[in-house]
Amino acid sequence: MNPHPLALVYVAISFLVNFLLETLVIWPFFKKSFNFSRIALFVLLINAFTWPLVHIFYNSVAIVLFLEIFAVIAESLLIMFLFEIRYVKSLLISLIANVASFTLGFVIVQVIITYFIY
Amino acid sequence: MRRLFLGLLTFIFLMSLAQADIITPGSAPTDVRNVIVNINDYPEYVFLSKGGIPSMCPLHLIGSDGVIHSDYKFCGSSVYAVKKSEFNQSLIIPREEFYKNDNWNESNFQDYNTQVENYLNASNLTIVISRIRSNYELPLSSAIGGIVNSYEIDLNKNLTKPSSTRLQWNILLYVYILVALIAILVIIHIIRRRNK
Repeated sequence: MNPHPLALVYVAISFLVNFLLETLVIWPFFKKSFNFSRIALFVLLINAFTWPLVHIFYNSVAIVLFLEIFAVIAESLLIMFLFEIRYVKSLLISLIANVASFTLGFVIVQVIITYFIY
Repeated sequence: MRRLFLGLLTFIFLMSLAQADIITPGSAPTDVRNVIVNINDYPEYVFLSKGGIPSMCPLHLIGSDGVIHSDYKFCGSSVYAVKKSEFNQSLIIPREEFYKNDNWNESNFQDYNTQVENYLNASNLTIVISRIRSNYELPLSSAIGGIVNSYEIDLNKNLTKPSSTRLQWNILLYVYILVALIAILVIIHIIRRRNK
């Protein structure tokens, strides 16, 4: 069974927007201890793990909340280990990053898709 | 700030309620196959399906494969069981004939629909399935390629939900698993190397 012809374009845009937004949110927390490229690499790896897993099961609005909770918890653990910080702080950063990427990301992706692809 | 937050929540809530007859950007309809799995357990019966919109949801005869055809996503079809001896074959119009405009005028279309309605409302017909969902809109990024709803019918029951649902995955499933696996392996490698 083949995906929709625009699926890969949508996946690429959606992932890129998510990655950029989360990088912009996470970067200020670690800019003193890590350089930008290291922060971006870690965020890329974290998103490359959680984003595909969330999208495997993303089939209705009803389960978005559960998937977002999974993303927040998984990303908080990965942030804690990669950036070597306390869990409470990593949970807070993950929560902020995911709220930003979920809300703003949704709007940005819809705008890009509507005006540049459809 | 509070207003912005409330506005955002309202927006997300309204987006989730949006059920208009349009495809949301970034979404696409997914193939849904509704099948009666035990249709051959009732050889003395004929099964018919009919949706609520007369012009777009014609009366269909369900074959021995049990596949319930639905032409339009808002048909919300029901399945009726009728004894073979009481089956009125003349009401079944082949799909291509049904949609030919030349075959219909306002009067004969209304007559036909009244006949179908009266036939389906007769007491000798039993509704075995109702509110069949034939369309799901999924994000383009979804790894779900199709949905198969199986119905195990019982002449004494009116099913409103499938007995079981099977998801058919597309190639994105393997891409997602592979990417996630590579990412977690690289993360583990970085953490282990740092701890040495």
